[in-house]
Amino acid sequence: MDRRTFLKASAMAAATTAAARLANAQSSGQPAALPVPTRRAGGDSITWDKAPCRFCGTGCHLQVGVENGRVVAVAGDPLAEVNKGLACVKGYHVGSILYGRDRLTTPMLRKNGKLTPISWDEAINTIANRIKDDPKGFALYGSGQWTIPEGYAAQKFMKGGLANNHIDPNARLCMSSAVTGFMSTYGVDEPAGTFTDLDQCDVLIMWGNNPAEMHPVLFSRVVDRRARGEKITLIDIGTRRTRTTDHCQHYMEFNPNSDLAIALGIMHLLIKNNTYDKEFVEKYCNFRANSTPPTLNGKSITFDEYKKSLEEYTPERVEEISGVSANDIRLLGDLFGNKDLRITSLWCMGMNQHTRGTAINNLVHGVHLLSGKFGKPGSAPTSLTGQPSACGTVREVGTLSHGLPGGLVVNNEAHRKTTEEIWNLPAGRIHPTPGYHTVEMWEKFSTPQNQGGDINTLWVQVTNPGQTLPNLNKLFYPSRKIDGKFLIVSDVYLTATAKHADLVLPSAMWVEKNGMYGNSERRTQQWFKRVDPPGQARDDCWQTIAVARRLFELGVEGMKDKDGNFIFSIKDAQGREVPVWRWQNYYDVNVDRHLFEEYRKFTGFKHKNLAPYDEYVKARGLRWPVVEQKDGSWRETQFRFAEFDDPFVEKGAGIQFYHSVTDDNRALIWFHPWEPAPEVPDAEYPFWLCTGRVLEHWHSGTMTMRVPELRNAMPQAYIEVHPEDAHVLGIANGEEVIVESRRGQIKLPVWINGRGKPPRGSMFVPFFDERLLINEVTLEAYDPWSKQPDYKKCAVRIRKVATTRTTAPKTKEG
Amino acid sequence: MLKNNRSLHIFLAIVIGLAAIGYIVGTRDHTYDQLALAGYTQPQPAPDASDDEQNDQAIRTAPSYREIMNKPLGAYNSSRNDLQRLSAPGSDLFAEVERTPELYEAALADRAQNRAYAGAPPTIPHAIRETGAAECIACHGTGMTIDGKLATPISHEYMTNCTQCHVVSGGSMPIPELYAEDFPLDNAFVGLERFSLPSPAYDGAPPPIPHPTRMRTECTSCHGLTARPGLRTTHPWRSQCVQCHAPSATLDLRPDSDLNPFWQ
Repeated sequence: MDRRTFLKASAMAAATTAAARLANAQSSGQPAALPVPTRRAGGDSITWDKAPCRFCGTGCHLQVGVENGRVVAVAGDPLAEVNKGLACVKGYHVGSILYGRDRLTTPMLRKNGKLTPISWDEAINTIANRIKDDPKGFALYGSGQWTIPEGYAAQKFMKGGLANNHIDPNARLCMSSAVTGFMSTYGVDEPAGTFTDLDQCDVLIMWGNNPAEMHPVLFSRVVDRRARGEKITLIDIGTRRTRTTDHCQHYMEFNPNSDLAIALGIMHLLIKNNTYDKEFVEKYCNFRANSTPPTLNGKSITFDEYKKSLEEYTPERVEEISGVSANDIRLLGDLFGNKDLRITSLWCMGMNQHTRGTAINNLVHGVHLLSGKFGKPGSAPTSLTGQPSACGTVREVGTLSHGLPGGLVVNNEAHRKTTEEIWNLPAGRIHPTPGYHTVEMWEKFSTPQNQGGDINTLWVQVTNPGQTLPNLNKLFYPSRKIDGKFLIVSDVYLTATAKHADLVLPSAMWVEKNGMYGNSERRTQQWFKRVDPPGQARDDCWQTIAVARRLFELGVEGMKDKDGNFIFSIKDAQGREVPVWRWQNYYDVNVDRHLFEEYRKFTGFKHKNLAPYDEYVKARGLRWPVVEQKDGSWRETQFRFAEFDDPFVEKGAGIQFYHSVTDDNRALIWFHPWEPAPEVPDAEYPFWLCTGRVLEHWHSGTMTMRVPELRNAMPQAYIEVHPEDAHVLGIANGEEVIVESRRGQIKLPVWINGRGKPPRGSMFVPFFDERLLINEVTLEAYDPWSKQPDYKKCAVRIRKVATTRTTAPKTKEG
Repeated sequence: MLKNNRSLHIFLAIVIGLAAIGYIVGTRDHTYDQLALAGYTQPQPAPDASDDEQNDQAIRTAPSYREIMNKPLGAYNSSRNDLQRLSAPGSDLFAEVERTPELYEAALADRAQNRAYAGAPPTIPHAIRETGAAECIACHGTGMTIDGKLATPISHEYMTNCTQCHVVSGGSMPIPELYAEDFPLDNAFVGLERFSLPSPAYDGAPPPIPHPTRMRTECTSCHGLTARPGLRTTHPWRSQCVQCHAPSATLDLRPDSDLNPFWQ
């Protein structure tokens, strides 16, 4: 036996043992449901292909290694500008999300209270019949995890096909305040800067943001610069200490809801010290304040009026409101007042999940505009997104109850006409009134028909509202007890939502299907299907088209265009219609490519120009506007509204806000007063409760809780309590407490001095754990403009659970 | 006047002295209950107290500052301050290195323990405090062996957000999972265990590198003096590894590899 043969033999032996161990460990004594290939040496037959990561809005590109029809390895893509070859622990383990053994593999209908397997045909018929019988009582609840073509198909099906605007995404709960903030400041959505600013800024300010855990790859882009010897100042303006705080030179802890006062304090100092950017403000800005009655456009005010409104926000007054020292406010004022510094602001849910979400977004944009920290590499107010395609599918395709593709809206006659022309629909097909936004939609679904609850059939795709809606006891559970309410859920696992559904559809995910995402920096990305979905799981986009086709066959007029053709009619290269509504034919053509090319026709109206599909196949994403050059190549845009980079800015303009609300190429600097939160701690409920995420888990944990490495690192939700509060309450680390608000209660273990460290009087609970649903406690109060609920603050009380646990904590042997 | 000043000095010295004593007494006077309330975990039997004086105590209490000087800290043995058991790297550059197929297999099997697939960031097999790169670098900067356990030096360039990629297997939470049975962890992902060994050009030729080298710039991390025996280099005095051992463009997914049509 020579050395190589021996090596091979012993490798096989070791691999077999390892596989046996793995199989035993994984099946917890149960017989294996799916055959598991042996873990083995290989690599000779691996094919690698690019795909954006499935998780957050950073949009890292990965290289996905596939062997024998299964994902076996993942690597950061070195050609990707976003992540430059790096990923985070979720990205490296994203391959495992496909292989949870409880994947949904067959459609299931609730019969006699039990979910029972049925055929796809029966499932599609069930949905089509319910829609046909009650088209107005139908709503579609989607997601920022929809791929761009999936969202586009859903959008066209609802607004173009059914003339029904009751389509809204979970992104309503996540970034709609950022949208209204951009709209009311610049007249058009999405950030002007890009992640390139992170490589150039001198100061990075994080507003209620914990990117060390939530956008770790972006955070590393900054802190690794410092490790390489660059000087960069990191400032954490937050309500609790996090992993991000540990990397920051300055930590400014503010009282919940007082971030507005901090922004106003900076503005106050810029004006008082005369350090604001006069030229920038005079050339490019107008001023606004709230009107009566309030509207998103507010009322015009003069600079002097603006200045006067700021007078009361002295550093001392801001300290009184926010708890941040007057010196720290002055520090911020000095930094923004320093002409030589490039400053980037980052924010995400902290500013968006806020009953004053639009206002605080306005104010942070305002600080940057007033100080001229805008339109230069390294200086930008940049809002991050939590979902991989919150920008691409929700904001750009417009899958919100008021939106149409490309930044158009339903309550604008010209926009409707344009859309009907592109879709070849009869004039007047699109309904002019916006549909129900998320909270309304679920409220109507949870209200009996005879009491005005006019949503009766609700189809959920690619999201988990049974876990992520606020105040579940009001918005989600009631519908499950009301006759005539029918919940359809398309998902990959039996989530907290799917468990309650009347009809469950098994979906394909990530590289089991073709897809496109749009990340936080306007970057549109594309990937190809690499492996087959398990069992009978099928693409969400196919599900939408199949239902549309069944309605077409049932004679529903809306499913036909002006010429009587099916609205999703797709033709092959020879001009023959491909029956993509039949699963066996769905991949005969690239449906994504056809839908994307149709969608692309919308993208020029608001200068959100996209390149042809094939350009994205070659690229690691391109940032819009992507404009064709004379030589036929396609050029992306990094810095929007800035003449040196944005092709739509006129020569000599410098900065041009070409979608200005005031039609004069100027952005709006807003004044919004600070106001207290709608629910503040009192004698009865004395603590603030904040909710959020942790590094290891993404969104509702449906995927990451099934990945061994992530689950083992962070096995469950917990509540962070300050040691002194714990002392007073008589609670030790690891004990269970009941957390209770006016809306509900749950039992959670306490973790003191753990991952995050809240100040006294404040507590934090992550929302990823479907067994410990903190949204039975949270408040559904929302921002009046964005309709986004505030998950970040409500009043709670906690008490010890009577029985004490006897289990000793795990020992940590090295 | 002068006399007054002197008595003031004496008075202040006494006050400061009393304050200092009070402070020290105060730090010592915490009972376990108070510490537990302030966020410490329950007392626990020493996991393995065979060879130190804590044998006498069934329950370990928090030591005083004076005791810290003499007693090992920490929840696990291997982190104890035991100089005899620390082996410094670079101790014997020219010691003979034994390399056998058995050792090689054992080394790879050991590596695979905390990696989802070849190339995955390893999980951390010990408890960590929740934050900070400094404490990672303390052991993993140059690498060391502690109590028979290997702390490998980091294989990639220095990056500060360690927990971005490396998470603790078993978690840092001092709380057992409460409702594990309600949500069983059952995943059928099977990662690539290793890449196939490429053949050397001829018998005795330096073998090509059989794995991707991207983010593995520090060869001694896995092949140096502190490495697992089966992977240890026989010639650690040579430090320019890629002079003789060629990396693979294909494994490194380099743009010039022909694996993927989109690279062109």
